[in-house]
Amino acid sequence: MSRQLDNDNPTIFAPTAPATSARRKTGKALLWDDRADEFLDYDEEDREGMGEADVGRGEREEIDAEEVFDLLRSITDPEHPVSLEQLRVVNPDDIFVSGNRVLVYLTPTIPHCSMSTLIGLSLRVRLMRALPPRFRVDIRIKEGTHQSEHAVNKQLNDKERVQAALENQHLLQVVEGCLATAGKRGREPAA
Amino acid sequence: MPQLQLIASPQSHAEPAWAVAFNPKRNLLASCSTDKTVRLYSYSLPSSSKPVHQHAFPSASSDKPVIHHVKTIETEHKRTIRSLAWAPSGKTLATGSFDSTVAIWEELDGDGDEGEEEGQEGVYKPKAPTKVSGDVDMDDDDGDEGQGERDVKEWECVTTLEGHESECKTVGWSADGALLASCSRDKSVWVWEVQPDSDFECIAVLMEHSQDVKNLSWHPHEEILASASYDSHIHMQWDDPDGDWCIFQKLHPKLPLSQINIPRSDAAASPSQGQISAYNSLVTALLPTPEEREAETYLNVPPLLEDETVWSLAWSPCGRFLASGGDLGGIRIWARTGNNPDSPFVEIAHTAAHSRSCFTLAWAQGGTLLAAGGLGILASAGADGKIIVWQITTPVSADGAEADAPSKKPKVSIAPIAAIREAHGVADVNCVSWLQREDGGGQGVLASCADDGSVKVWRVVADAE
Repeated sequence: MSRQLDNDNPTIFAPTAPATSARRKTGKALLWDDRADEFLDYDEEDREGMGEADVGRGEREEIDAEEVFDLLRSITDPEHPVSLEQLRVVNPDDIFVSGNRVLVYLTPTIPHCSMSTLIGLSLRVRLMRALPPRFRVDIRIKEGTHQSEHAVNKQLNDKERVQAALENQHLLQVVEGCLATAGKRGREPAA
Repeated sequence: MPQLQLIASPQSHAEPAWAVAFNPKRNLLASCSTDKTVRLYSYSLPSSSKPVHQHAFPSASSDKPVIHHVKTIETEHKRTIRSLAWAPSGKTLATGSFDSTVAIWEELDGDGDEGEEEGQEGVYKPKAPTKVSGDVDMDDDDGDEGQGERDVKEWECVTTLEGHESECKTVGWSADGALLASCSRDKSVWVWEVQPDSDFECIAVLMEHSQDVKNLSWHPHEEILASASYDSHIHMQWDDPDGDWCIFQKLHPKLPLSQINIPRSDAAASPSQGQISAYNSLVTALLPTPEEREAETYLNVPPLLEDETVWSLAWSPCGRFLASGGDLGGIRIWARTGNNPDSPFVEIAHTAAHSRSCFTLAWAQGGTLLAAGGLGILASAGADGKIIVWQITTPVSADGAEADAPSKKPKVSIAPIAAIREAHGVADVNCVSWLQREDGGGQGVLASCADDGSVKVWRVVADAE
């Protein structure tokens, strides 16, 4: 890439949380299909199935912050071939889940990172595809870590802009690129 | 106390449904979606649907309107169809798409019995296929307004309006159908003049918003256009007799939020079981559940500190008031303070409504009588999945005249009268639209559509079932 990188030498950290096996040990049923992750193509039938189960209220699957982190940790940074977990852009301690709501704080690697919107979009798309539709997701830049924090926050939470971005082939390709590794869920470092 | 009663859930779109609109002349409802189709539904009102007096809601046990899907128009839009609008004639439909274009649709005149499209090159096709299902009552073709549309023919795109640089968000016709307006993420509002032979000439491009223009709404009988933007402003524009189309006022919200004012059950002395149950369901729908309250406290989501996007606009039927819906879920009311077309508007109310973005507003006649200060019923919906119906009233003096002269700052009361949570399950509600007919039939019938692609039709009924 000939373009000047926003941050050409980011700090890379060791994984902050154990890989997915920890969650499996809790014996909770998987809400999403790993194969779907690997193909990246979200399985509509699964999702509809979950939606119905949800409406029935009887068997509502609970999801915790750790699981949400798991969904996000292996997304690749748009500028570097490393995961958002390794860059500490997403951290397990910055994800909160309660009822039908999820709040994710993202921490840009540098305060003028122009990629923050794109990273935020990738997080949103990942959660849109992987979480049951009952979840309302709020994404915020971690306070004080970006110079245009408020403008980025507003954009990331405008659903019309998100929908339009997903219909923009170029943008979607970049997002898909970032999400291609999301299914690893911390099992191995992004290649 | 009224209630919202579900009367139909016709087959869903495959992807998010963004807008619904009742045809002003024919018994048709249209919806549009990210799946790039427009779906048309026919409705028929029960014969007893003429209200006792003009503003009364029917009883919950009365016969319901019947709605069914009649046609799917596969458009050539390349992206989401975000908005649609019927011309006042009911003969033309405009669609606005994220592919930046506006398309104009007309029904092919298959039988030649009305002849409007005859002679238009490229529009008229002599033998458009007409589909008549077996159970249709063939002898009734005299256009009884209470009947559903039996014979919806093919719809064709007669022209495509290009000019916007990015996603078109809303399209709307002026009251007399002579003008069409469109707005876009490119920050502009375009005004098009409708000319013969499906020709549209752009007569104004207003470029003073600093961000996406999300919504626009024409005054119900004057050529005044309001536009709402991500930049948190509402622009009021008109065709200045001394010049060109221009903005005569830029509105910016200022009033702090006031809490929802839930009216006490009206027949306080001895409310019926139905009244009590309707009142309880209203309160339950409006107030957060314990789980929602817990999530609110636990997450303590930092508010968006930039000024809120204005998502939605709706004029009162009388044209003196404008309602706007914001990203934080509140509804604001603006009042015109004079009698001139460009008289300034002031913000007179800001009420808490939805817990997330208020994506849509629709204001129609109904409810409290005009003589008692009734300004109609406002429906709102949004990202919290709720649909709320509000009775808007203005104080009247003893002699029945409105207490305020128009030049003063009028007062309004905004009271929720019916509400439903999870109107479309867990999905965001993107649009609501009232049925408004010249004969007053079907008052209180409301269509809505949502992110899960579903379209529903409701009616406000006088009491709980």
